[in-house]
Amino acid sequence: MNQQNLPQANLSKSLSILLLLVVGGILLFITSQFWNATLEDPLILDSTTGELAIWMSDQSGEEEIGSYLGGVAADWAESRGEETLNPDVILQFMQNGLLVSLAILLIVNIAVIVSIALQSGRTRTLMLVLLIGIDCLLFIIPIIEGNAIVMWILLAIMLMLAGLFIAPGKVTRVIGFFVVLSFLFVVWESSKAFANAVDYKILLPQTSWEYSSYPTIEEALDALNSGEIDAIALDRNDLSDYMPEYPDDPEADTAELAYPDLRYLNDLDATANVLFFEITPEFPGRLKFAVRAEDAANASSIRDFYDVSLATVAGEFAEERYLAVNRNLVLVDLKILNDVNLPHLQTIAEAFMQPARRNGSQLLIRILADAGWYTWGEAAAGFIIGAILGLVLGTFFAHSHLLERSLLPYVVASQTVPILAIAPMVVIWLGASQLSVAVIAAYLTFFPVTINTLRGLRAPSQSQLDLMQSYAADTWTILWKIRFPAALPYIFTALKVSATASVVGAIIGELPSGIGDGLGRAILDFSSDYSLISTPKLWASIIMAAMVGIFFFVAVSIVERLILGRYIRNL
Amino acid sequence: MSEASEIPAIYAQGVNKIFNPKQENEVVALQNINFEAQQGEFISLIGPSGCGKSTLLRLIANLIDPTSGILQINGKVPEQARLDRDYGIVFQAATLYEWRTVSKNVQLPLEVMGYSKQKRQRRAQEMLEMVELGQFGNHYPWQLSGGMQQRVSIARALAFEPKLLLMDEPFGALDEFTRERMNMELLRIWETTHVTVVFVTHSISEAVFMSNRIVVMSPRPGRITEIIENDIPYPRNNDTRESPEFFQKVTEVRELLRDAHEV
Repeated sequence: MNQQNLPQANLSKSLSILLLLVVGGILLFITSQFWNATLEDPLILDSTTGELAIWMSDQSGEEEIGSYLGGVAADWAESRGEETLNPDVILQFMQNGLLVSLAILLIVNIAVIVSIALQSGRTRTLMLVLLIGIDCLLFIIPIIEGNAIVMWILLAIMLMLAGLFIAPGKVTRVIGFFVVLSFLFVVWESSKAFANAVDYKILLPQTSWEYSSYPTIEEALDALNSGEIDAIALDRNDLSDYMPEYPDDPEADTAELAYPDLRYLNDLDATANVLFFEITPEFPGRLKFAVRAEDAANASSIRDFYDVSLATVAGEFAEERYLAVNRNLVLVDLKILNDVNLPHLQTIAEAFMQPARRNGSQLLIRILADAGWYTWGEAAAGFIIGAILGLVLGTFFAHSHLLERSLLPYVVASQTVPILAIAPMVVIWLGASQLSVAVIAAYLTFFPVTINTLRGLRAPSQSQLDLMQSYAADTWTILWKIRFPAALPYIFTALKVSATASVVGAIIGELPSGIGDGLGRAILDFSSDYSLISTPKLWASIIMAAMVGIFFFVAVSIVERLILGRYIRNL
Repeated sequence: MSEASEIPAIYAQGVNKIFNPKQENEVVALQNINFEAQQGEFISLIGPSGCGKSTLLRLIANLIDPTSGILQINGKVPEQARLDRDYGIVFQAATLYEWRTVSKNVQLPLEVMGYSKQKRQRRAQEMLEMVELGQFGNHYPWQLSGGMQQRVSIARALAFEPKLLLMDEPFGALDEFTRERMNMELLRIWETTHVTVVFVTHSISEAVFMSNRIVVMSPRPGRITEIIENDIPYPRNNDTRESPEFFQKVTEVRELLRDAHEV
């Protein structure tokens, strides 16, 4: 580093130390909150670990214990000579554990600061560890009304992200992954907090009513009749007793009515929407307006009454409800961010660490892991069937223009048919078994392999093929020694696509097969009852499905790297 | 070399090559080609682009077939010569197989021909040492420079000891310095192996420096205008490039090419 850069380097150094000091302060604050909390404090009780502690304590008293953690709790109870383990024991243990973890994070924090000061090469690694540690807090600390602790964690994560930007060193793939993931967490939680603050709607205020209220209907109608006010909003049934409708109904008997010079309007355009934007509150359908007969023809829409001197009868409706509420255009509806649709990260973590059903003996994480394993088995079978089929078809197509021209259109057409339409037929044909699920998964996977095998087998250049011809090599030798190795990069690209597609295919295939052990059934179950209780479980299932797909993808990528890594640069 | 030397390495009489015959886009690539190459000769084919020199090489290699005429390689029809692995070929691009190491690339023709593994490896090592790349057997092609790749490709073409080496502008993509060094190296290899070389080039000085006969060709339609004997004695070296005979030959070839172009 040359002399000119030094002041700048010093600036970024002191800036990152400052950032890390703030992060340390936040960590200290969180630690103090946990240090001071009693075991009854919601901070302890409602946290992911707290809920888990209560469940473990419950399990320790059960006759038959199905889960590992339940067994641990039962042994613990036995060693203490108790029938059922006192929840306070585990809660205390969990609290201590959290305090130890926080202490470790603080130590890492100090280590990072020292590392920055000494300009050590490990700064980024240490910062990554700290970042992941703080991320984990998001999954443990509960969201409590009036307690901003999660906001402090979000702030700490943002500071860490800024620090990682400033800190010297290379951005590795791992750092990049966790930076994006942490950023996602911050966006997730802060957009939820924002949506909560604005009551899940971004509004644009609209012209509202200005109204006066009268004690009785008669007084209001008199005021309208005398020209004191221009319109009255009332229940349509009440109005019909006093005056004729507009437009006039020639067959109606209006002689008896009290106010022959007034009209109530029954053909108003009641939708006050602007384009497709909704306006709240919506005008209640049973309400109608009354005006003087000569004005009746001038009013056609609710909007015509926004600025007129409007009156109604005193009461809840006028003072508290519709007319007194400000009217707003709903620019953005944020209900997608509410707790049902998008649970807090901690709620999802908690769902993982709770039984799938009340008093169940297995945690959801175990059930989903088993389901994921089961589904992956089906997906892998489908992947292998699809890959072999794709390789064979691709090889035939590469060697025969006749086959390619006649069959390839059907291969393409097969992919335009939605798998949801094919799946039930496969199930009826092959029976509701794992085999049909594998076949459905294979249906999705053979296509990319076919296309890329065909493309890859034709990848060798003309001179590479000419050279083989000059050696008088036969078709098989050329296929095996030249075309196939040249096609491998293409084939692996397809296999990576197929790996993820096979998981999707397996999950979809499980639905018509009625297979209950896989992720498909879990997703179906938890989405059928869409509520505060089941959507975190639905999210947990989605995360598990994603993990299975990622796992498969990574596994194929590793094999690819082992085989191709030697001769392909920057794989 | 007693019996083989009596049969010409290449014998061409009245060879024509027409692409897309009797169609609108018919191209007469070669017309009435007559020439003969004796065993152990170094023959250059030179001419402006489009004169059919690469086409002629591909005819000899049996990568395409002549439309008419007689073409014999070592007294056999070209297809038989190819099946007998009578020739090795080197293209302008090194044409290495990027998933094979340098050594494995050299071994490829031997694999196709069914040599034993031991023999293959020994032979590949010998050939790599001949082109001074003995240390690079386990490298992958991308780790080598363009000149080194082309040397590997020459080693590969000679690995199975063919009687004939066909080279299609092998040094066309190299810089001047590397090209001159490769010229020297190829001459050295030619002198040690006694292989017959047919060398396509569009560099006059390269043709004069390398070969003992220069076949000058002209385009539209591709034909042979002149065959020049080049009696500058071997071994040739950097001094040769500065000798008056060299300049004289270069001038002679240049004038022939110019005449051919103006016709």
